[in-house]
Amino acid sequence: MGTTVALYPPGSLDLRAPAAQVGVAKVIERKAHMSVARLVDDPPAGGLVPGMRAVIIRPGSAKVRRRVAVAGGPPLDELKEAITRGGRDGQGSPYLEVVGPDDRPELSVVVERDHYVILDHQDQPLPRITPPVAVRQAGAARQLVQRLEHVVQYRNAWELHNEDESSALRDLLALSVERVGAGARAGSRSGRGTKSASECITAPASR
Amino acid sequence: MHNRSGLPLSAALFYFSPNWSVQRLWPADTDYTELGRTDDNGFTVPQGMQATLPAGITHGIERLKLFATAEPTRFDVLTLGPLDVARSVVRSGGNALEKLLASISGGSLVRELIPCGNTGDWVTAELELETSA
Repeated sequence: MGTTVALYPPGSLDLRAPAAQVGVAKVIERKAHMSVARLVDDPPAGGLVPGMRAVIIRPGSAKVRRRVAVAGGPPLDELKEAITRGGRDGQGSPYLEVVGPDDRPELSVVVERDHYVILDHQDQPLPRITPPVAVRQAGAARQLVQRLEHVVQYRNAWELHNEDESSALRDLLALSVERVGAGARAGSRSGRGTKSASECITAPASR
Repeated sequence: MHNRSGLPLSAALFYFSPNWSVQRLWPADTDYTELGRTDDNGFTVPQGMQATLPAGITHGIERLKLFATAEPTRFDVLTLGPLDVARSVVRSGGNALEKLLASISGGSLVRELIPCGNTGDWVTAELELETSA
């Protein structure tokens, strides 16, 4: 429910081309075998026709599990096992899904200099993952799973926002920061740079 | 904090630290409080913050996130300690949004996506600050 889909003419192959998009609809009813969506805007010029294709452009859900790529090798095999079977109930981690390195991972784990390293989706090491966990230390795989789950919990909370475009509160909340002392440089994520004392830094928008 | 909705909202401000902890920054002594309609100056959080970098660290991202809802809602289920510190048990709530938050933070639903359901109206605002040595 609440998922937004883009509509394309029957037979469309490229479901990412905005020019070919003929409408947008929001799912209002979900059943085991089908879903019902209502057009968000006016119907397309040719109306709705059987065989139109739809692609999800905004899921009406919150993400809980993250895709983690774990390459091969004994230490990483142990880590995979800890993720897929190491839950307290013997099931897999509720936060982590092991995927292949080419399967759009959001996080990856590699071994460098006999230590586990957690990488982001651009293969850059995550900051402040310290102290490093040596692959041979007791309980290393379990500790790394706990760290991965911690990172996912942090990201889930940070990225959580209301997807409902009809929200009456949308775009009506904002944050700003006033820098009142000398010290390190500070700037907004979208506009980094040196800010003078007492300069106000404003968040771009609420969601 | 700026509330331009024209309505009083239940709100709480959280600090997402570079050490991977998530802590409620405001209000300090209760789960949430009312954030009334604000003018252009906004409402200033009483607690100031000082950004520092640990030895050997030359760069950090400090994150602030404001949650506001039409109905009173506790967000403390999202709090986290630093890395390698087990999450303390936080009571899960009663309204639909609190249940959604509990599902997200507790990972109780073993699947990639969970339905948001009818959680009432709510909104967030985020700010990221870069600190460099």
